[in-house]
Amino acid sequence: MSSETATETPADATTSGDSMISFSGVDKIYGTDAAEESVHALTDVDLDVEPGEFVSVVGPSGCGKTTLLHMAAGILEPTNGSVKIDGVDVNGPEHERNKLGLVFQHPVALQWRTVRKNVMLPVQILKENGEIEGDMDHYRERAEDLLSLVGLEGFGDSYPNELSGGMQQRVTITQSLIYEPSVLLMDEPFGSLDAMTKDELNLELLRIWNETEKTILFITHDLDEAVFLSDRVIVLSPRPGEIVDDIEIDLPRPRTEDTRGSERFIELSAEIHRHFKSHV
Amino acid sequence: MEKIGERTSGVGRITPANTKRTRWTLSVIGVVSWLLLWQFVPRLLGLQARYFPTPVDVYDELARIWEPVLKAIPPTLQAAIVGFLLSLVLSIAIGAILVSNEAILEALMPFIVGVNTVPRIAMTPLIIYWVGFIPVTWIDLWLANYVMALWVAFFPMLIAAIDGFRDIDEDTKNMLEVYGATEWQAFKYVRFKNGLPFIFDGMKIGFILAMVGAVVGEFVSNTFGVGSMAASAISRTSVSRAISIVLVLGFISATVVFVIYVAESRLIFWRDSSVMGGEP
Amino acid sequence: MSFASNPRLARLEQWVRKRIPTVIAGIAFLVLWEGLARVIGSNRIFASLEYTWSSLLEQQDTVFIRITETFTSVVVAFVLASIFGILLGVLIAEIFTFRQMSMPLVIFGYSIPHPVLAPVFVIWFLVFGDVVLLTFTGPSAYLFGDVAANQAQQSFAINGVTTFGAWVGFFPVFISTITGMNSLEERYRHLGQVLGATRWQMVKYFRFYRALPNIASSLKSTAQLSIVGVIVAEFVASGAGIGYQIVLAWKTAELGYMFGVITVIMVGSYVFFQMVVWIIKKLTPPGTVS
Repeated sequence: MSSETATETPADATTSGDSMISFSGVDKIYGTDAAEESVHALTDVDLDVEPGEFVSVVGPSGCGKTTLLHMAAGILEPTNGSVKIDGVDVNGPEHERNKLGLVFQHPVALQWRTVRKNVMLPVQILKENGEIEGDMDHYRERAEDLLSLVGLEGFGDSYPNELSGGMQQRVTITQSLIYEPSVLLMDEPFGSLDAMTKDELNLELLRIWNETEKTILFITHDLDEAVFLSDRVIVLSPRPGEIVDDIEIDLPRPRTEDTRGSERFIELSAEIHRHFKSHV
Repeated sequence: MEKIGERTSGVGRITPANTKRTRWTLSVIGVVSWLLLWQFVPRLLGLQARYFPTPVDVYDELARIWEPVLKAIPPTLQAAIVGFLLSLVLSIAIGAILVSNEAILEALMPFIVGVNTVPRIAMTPLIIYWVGFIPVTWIDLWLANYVMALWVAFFPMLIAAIDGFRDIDEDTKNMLEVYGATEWQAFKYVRFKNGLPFIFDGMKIGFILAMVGAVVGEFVSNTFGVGSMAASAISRTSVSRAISIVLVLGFISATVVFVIYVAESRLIFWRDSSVMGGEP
Repeated sequence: MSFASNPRLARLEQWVRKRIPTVIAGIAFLVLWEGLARVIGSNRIFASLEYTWSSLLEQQDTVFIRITETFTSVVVAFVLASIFGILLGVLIAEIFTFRQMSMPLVIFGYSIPHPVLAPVFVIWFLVFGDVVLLTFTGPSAYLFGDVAANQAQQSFAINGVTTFGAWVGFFPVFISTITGMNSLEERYRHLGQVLGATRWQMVKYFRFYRALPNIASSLKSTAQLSIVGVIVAEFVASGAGIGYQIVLAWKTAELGYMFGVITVIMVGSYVFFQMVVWIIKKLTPPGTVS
């Protein structure tokens, strides 16, 4: 997915009818009980992610990045405002679950299932609840394809505790891809991995994104990772979290290892780092 | 404050608030409803009072045998307490010694675990037999109950002490080595405190086991105490008598376990205490 | 000959190697026993290996029949404890109200020194009769020529002894089921939420399996405690099983027989325990049981 397509969409970014993910006037306040101290996690968030865009959200710890993502996932409800996925309120009854995939920081591969069975798990649940159709054979085939795609061919019958952390994370990613959601929400998915595996998986993620044209909202505290992967980087302030900047990453695609050393990359990275220096 | 995604059970939509007050109220309701069910259901089903005593019947019986029960408690309780305290002291002492020498510990551990695995309770008649041989006039079969209490309680408490003393992580061990700490210093400064949570868990089990030992001793040797009182209820097929004795002992036991729990929560501030013992 | 070239031989070698410490322990135990017996020198205080063995042989019919009886009860007790422990555990873990309501009762039940309850169970079944599930002719009839089929008859029954054994064995597996189910990490709950898993799906796919390692580990305790419960009940219920044989040996001051019967129980317990561990390993995903 190249950024050229993204810039061809209508310039009016607040038309949530066109966006894949849209936050409108979202606030999140915890502790609305009078007896408890209230925590203002997010304030006045307006964010639109176009179909096929790769957007990262960065910010200091505790600034509400995860809260933002969980609201997009429908796990949390906004105190004010609305969150929509493909034009539909994510907390409403019309929300289609198979549109969303959520990737966690730590592997959610169930230790008691083989890799293949883990990949099939979301399909099992969604099918039982009637959220998706299609027969299991189709999904089984797809599981095999996905395992090859992420480089886990041949590990289908292994158990998660036999795999390394990086491999377990690949299983987690595969789990979120099996039912072909149009939106991927990723919560620091590579945060618990070592630098080399992280770089490797970054490239792989871009490859998968390229082949599948998904819309991705990506959370990370690694600023360079954000620059490397995204079309846009959103910077969130510390609590109460609000959007302080929305930086367009105009690096050419496809991006490679060399991109990291390019002048423009360094410029953009410095621009984002500047935000955090001022918060020291 | 609502934690992200917190639910008190399952993915339920309506859950009672997990406040202390709710929990206490429900617990009280639980006890009361159980008592009410116990009181009225046997009558409703037309069951005989003799074999299905209600709480009121049990209370009456207890009032009737209160004097003898009060007399019977001390011998049993004494045996249990002495056995328990001795187990406690011995398990800590022996545990400390064993842990200081890796080789001996490795060699003896299979024995200890082995003895703990087999039902030590089966040796009750043997212990009673041996006690019968002791040629001291004031010692009689009642000593067997003391020995049984010790015998049954000791091994689990020893294993708990050993596990606790051993459970220091690699980094701490290395630190001790770097500082040139002697075994005694390692014990004094690190191992003992580290083992306290395990020892307290061992104490909760240990006291109950000591009671078990004392009571079974009485069963077999027919020495005077609560246990033999309970056993004699069989020949009279008096369910209410048996149950009233159960309740009395249950209260004593639960009280002691509760006291241990309170002591633990005061002493061990770095870990949450629980009444039933922590995770393995 | 290289073991590396034959994987099955290699695994056999591994299995034997693992058993060596146990064998050494066993031999050391026997040596200690005989040593102590010699030092003490009186078969009335400490039976020698030889005296123990001959006493056992003399009564081998009875010993066999009674040990079969006891372990038949243990099996029933263990199965009852496991089934009720897991089912009730799942129920209590799932339903917050039930959990809080039953908490004090569970803690109380757990604190009662179980032997005092044995008479209660025994009396009840004395009055109401046992529920016999299945009778069979025990192996004694086949092994010993002079044992008639009816003498060797055993039954899987729900009676005072087995229900009491189940009571004692119930708590470890019950409590650990609850603990396990409630320790499902947050991210799995989130995954369930995103996928829209129903409550039952959460239990079926996530919570129950999260509890499995806890359950598997506690079943070992349950197995041991079922044995303890059965033996304790046999002490007070007249005539039953191998527990009563020990009491009998004490009453008739037959030390050799007492030593022998106790050893038989210990060996039987060890075997039963290993079998349970093996079954658990087979039934659960790999890595569940340590």
